[in-house]
Amino acid sequence: MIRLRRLASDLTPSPSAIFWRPIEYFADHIESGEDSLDAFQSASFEIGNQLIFDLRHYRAHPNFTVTFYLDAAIEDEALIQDAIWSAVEGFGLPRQAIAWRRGDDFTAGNLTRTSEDRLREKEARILVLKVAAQSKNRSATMEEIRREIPKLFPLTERDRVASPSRRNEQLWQQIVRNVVSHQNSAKSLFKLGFAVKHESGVKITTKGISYLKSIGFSM
Amino acid sequence: MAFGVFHRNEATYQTAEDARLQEETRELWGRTPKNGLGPAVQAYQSAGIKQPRRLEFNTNVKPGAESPFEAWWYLNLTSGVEAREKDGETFACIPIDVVCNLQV
Repeated sequence: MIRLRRLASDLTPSPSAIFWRPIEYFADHIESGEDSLDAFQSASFEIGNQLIFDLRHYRAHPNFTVTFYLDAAIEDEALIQDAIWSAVEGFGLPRQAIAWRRGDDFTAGNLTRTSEDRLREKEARILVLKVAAQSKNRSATMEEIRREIPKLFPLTERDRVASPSRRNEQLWQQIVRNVVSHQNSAKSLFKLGFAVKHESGVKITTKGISYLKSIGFSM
Repeated sequence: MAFGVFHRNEATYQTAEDARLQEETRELWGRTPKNGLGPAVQAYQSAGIKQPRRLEFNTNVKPGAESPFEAWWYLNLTSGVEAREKDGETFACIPIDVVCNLQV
């Protein structure tokens, strides 16, 4: 279980991974700061009582990325990789969202995002919950959901292709529609008790809020 | 010099005067990051967005940690990083060669 820390962490940051998601994807409570490098936005987390890390987006980092920082005193490569995977799993991130991990080679120039990192139903379910959690009365209309999801998830060309079954919708929109309309499947937000459907959209439940907190997204 | 080219965009702790001094002294200093436990020098790699006003440099000190976006050199943790004192504050310091100073 990942917990958002309300107090900033006391670590000397060492960049250890980069994810293809904006910092707003991970936290509703984001701090602003500045150091010798530049201004940044950050959120601090812990897993258990032992692993503490920061997510940061510095001003000159490419949009829709966030960097995962461990303490520079952690030098054991196995521990670093374990920490990265613990965070990825704890946040419910798909593996394709990892842009770089410490130890990966990189060359000067831009990172290339894999075409496999597109919106899928599992992640769309979480995004719908996050949008609803931050909406008035914890309730979001389909219009709000469609408007807000692209702010949390960097859509790709594959996401934007026309849906094969609904030509006036993009593929990602069909996936979101499926998430909101499928009420009876075992993984449905509604079957799990995380949300209730209403006439114009979705309302997140207390159980849904608890689930988001368990993946580090506290309101 | 073996490592780089890195850059620092103009910011609160990278003013035009800082750039002038860095070019003159061929040193780049870094203070303790917010809530950090020790001073570090920081810079962007080429995948970091370059602002029009910036300093570009290389160095013969290997970064202690780096990602495609940035590089860090830590005092007492990274070989080749030296300490500097000013006004009661300890800084990390690395030698640099300025490739271009666009903060003039």
